[in-house]
Amino acid sequence: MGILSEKELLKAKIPCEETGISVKTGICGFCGGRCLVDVYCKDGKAIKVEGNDTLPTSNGRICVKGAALKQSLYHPDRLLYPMKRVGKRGEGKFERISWEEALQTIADKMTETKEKYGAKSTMIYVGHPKWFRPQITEFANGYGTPNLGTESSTCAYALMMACMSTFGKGVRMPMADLRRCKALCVWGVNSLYSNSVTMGGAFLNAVERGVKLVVVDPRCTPTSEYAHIHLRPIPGTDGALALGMARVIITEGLQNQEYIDKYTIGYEEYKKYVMDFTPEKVEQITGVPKEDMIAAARLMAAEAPCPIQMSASPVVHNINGVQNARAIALLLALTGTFGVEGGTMPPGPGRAVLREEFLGTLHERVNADQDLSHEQFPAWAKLIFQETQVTRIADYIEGKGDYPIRNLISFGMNHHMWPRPDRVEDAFQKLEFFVNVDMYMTDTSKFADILLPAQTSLEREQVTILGADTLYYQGHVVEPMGETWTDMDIIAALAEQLGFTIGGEEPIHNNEDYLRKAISATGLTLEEIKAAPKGIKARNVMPGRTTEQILQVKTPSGKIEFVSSVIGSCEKDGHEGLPVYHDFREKLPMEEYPLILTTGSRKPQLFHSRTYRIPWLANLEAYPLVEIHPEDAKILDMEDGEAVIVRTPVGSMELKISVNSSCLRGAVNVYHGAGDKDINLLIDDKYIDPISGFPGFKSYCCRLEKRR
Amino acid sequence: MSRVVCDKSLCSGCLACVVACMDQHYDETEVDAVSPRIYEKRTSEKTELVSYITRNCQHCEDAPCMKVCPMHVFERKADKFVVAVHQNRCIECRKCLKVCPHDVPRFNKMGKIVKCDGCYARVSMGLEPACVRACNTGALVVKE
Repeated sequence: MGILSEKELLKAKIPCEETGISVKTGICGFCGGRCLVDVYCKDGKAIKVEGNDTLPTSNGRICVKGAALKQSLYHPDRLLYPMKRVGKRGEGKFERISWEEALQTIADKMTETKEKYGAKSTMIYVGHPKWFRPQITEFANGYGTPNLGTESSTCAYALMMACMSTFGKGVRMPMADLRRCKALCVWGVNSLYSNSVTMGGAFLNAVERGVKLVVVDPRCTPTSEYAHIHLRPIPGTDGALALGMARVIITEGLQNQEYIDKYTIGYEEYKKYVMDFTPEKVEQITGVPKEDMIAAARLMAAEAPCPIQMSASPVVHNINGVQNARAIALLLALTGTFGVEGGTMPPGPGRAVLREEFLGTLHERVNADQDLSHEQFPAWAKLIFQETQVTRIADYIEGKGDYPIRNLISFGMNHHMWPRPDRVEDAFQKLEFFVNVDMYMTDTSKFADILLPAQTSLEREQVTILGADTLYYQGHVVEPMGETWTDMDIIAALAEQLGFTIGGEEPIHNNEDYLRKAISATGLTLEEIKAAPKGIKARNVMPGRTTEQILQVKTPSGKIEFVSSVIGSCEKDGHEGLPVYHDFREKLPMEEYPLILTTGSRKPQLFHSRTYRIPWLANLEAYPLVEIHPEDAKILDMEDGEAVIVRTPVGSMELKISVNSSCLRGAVNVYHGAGDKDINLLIDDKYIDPISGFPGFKSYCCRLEKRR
Repeated sequence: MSRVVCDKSLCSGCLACVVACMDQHYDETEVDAVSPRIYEKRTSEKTELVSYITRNCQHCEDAPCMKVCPMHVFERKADKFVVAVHQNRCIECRKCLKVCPHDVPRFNKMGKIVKCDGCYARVSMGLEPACVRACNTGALVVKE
């Protein structure tokens, strides 16, 4: 050790015998990225974290949020014991109770409600995290309610609807072949701020390989800095832009006709429709100079396959979101990019699979035709058959659906994610019974009658797949705190209290049962995986698929559908088979509220509401800020840091402005979810996509007023 | 001299290095911790992008801060690193800040200097400084 004293080694957290510090590798659960982290532990406590660099797929990096992991793990707001509410709803006064009392109270209440009003008057909900969704469906089925919803009602399902209606069942996200593509279009993603370790790393590798890059993003981002062509459409006009690009490709004869003839249906009707989107018209709608749009279209066709990287929400947070996303996705069909090497959903190696994974296993619901959303959202009912669309949760609780929701049993709910969270809070007051399972005393938790404490990712045993086929077991990186349980243990125990078991023919009584079931398809035992600290290759893998196999798509027609039969056959307003462009501005009082309000564009240090709790992240920058282009600020005679009134058709709020030239002129950006300064308070909850039910978070309207 | 330098053309402004530095040097209960890494906004030279850029102490060979400090707060560690070993002696006279060619010293709520220590102990043990280890883009590198 030479020149360093033991005190210095300890202060620098050097893992060695002298300090007693050891390093354990775990899975960061902060967002959904599941990056591997090395946790430095002393006396059973996490004292430092850094990116793992020894296991497959890891690169040693850590993102800004992950770097604050110990502050989230040991946060004073952690729920450590079951509690029951003793104050008013929302007040946050609770008293510790035993697990027995908590489970008995919940089971009694659920049974009573079922007898009185029927099981469907209980809604079951999952927010963050997502991993136990297959079992929560079994739980809802065992109890008998079809009203099971998740946060995906405003996150990724609309994009999945666009993909599945175009490319068929099983194609949920348009995964780009970042490792092999020669050209790449990044449409509304900034992976250098979001999932920056894994996805950002893959993006930078593609850049280093010299990939030709088109970026579509209203804002300037570190990702767009690498673009050969950066298109900056007005938020929400993506559909018109994609249709305009399609017209360029078709009129110049750059489409892949052989691919179209062989694998698609509806091309002639689509071709006729896109002819209306002339470069001049598209420039007028989107604000993108026509020369740039034409150049991007030519590049994407000439360099095809050119995959389009998309993220869950940016395009579909618009009232024409599903159709806009379909218009984009169809460029992949037009250029013969879908299903091929270097394209989107490419052929690949065999992969190990876990059974019962949150996106892999979709159990059908009992009585799905009695849920609250199927009539209003028929395309959702067909494509997202496993869940209820719950953006209208406030209405559903208040009885503005077919019947009122009286009980809410939720796991990790954050009501700030919805437009008009104040309306959701009012609705909470009308519930007969509300349970929230969470890691923290969140704003939502304060409204619950019973709170159950859940373990964080580092506290619970789990198995994950690294790369294509390496299984990795994470034990307790730190021992579970207080009386926290895994979500799986909670679900299994609640089911048993209600008189049934989840898991079907392979019953799940606890988290370990679940793990054994999850890995059973790999041909390995849990003991074998546990005994392999560097991971172990699966014995059984699902064989990789060829292009021909991928292109046997599971749409009703068996072809990639330029005209969606699933959406087109819904007899409901706004459900058209073609990716028709409807401009959101026609539905908004733009003369009175001339600025476009975009919420939720990623900042590196923020992730929904949960990061405001973490001092090292929250203190990095004042929040929330209204980011505005300097030219707009000048017109309004407003200065950086000035407090102004943000007014929308449904409310107003005082916020500080941040003059920032990354913004598109005419569009302001506010990050969402900040408690009583939550910008979602100003977004109309009726402003939703008629197909998906998604709120138009990325393109609402507002005006800024000087304070008097 | 051993110092971390930031390649501005590679830095995305993600601030991972700033919080990794805090994670390295502070306990999670120190909620008002001041980051030894300094971050500021900049506008791209080629586009309208505004993003953060970070910087840190350069551990000058001829460290003027060491010379002017009346309280002898600083010591040279492992022959390279200028470290505020005796932070508690600091009287916040800010002489070090006035002479620093890189505008590096900062002061916490207690009026004590906060400054990059180069992660000298980690470097001595063959590890990267925490900020370099965290860096998402390869912008941060150690220059000898």
